Amino acid sequence: MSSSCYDFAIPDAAQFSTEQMEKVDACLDELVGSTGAPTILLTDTTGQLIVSRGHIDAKKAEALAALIAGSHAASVEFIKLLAKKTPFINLLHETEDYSIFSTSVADVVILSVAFGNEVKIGVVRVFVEQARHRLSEIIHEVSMNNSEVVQVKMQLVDEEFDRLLDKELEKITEH
Amino acid sequence: MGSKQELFEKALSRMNQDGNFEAAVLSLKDGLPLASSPLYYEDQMTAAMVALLNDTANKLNRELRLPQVDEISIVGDDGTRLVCRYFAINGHDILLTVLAHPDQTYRRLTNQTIKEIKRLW
Repeated sequence: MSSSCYDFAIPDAAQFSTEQMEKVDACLDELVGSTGAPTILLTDTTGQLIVSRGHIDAKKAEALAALIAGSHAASVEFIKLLAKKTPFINLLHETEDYSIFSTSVADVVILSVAFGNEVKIGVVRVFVEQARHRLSEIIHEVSMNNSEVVQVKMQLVDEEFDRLLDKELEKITEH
Repeated sequence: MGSKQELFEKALSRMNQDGNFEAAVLSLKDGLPLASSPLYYEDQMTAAMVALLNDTANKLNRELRLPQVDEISIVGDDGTRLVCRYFAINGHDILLTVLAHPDQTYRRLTNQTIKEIKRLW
């Protein structure tokens, strides 16, 4: 039986300067105007709420941010099992009265739009995509400014490795 | 100023009034609706069906090496016409679908509306 090993990147928490945050705010304001969506959330992939738009209770927004990040993390792993590349992921949670459309931006932040069934999904999809491009540019600027940050990677290994490790440890402790 | 959807809906509504069209739907080529007039017209079903027509048009283009399709019309035996106009904005392929009564002219009005949608985008 061969040993296999799975890589899990530990998500980076997004950090924006004041100037970059102003650009993010402008981008979200434009998205609110274009879609007419009542609630927009920007979260990082660790589940921290970065900023929100619309009338949403702060605690609810924070809880939603964590749940959406979890949902995206699960989807990334689903897709890794099915395909090799996950350039970005769009998720749509649809109910009878309202829907939440969310998209991952540069693997760093997640943009989510909650909208009622009076808002057409095509409009949300098109203008979220435009916002995603704009946010990607801002995040690219952030990563250029923080190039010294080292990407942390964690490896999970399978049972065979554990068994071999135990065996070797036993050998050592026998003496 | 309203949302883009509201602006598109106003443009479609004006076109319907001017052309006495029964309904109009603006959608993406993959079948997702952007706007419709009347507001609660069966836009999801129409957009999805028109997306199928788009697939057929693409196949025709490829197989028969036709130039870019500008319009597909389906005419009923009573003369009612379902018109699908194709155009692109910022890399998005868009379809404007209009349900016109028999003997109704539509080219000029749909051209005007396409220009208006491009301006509003």
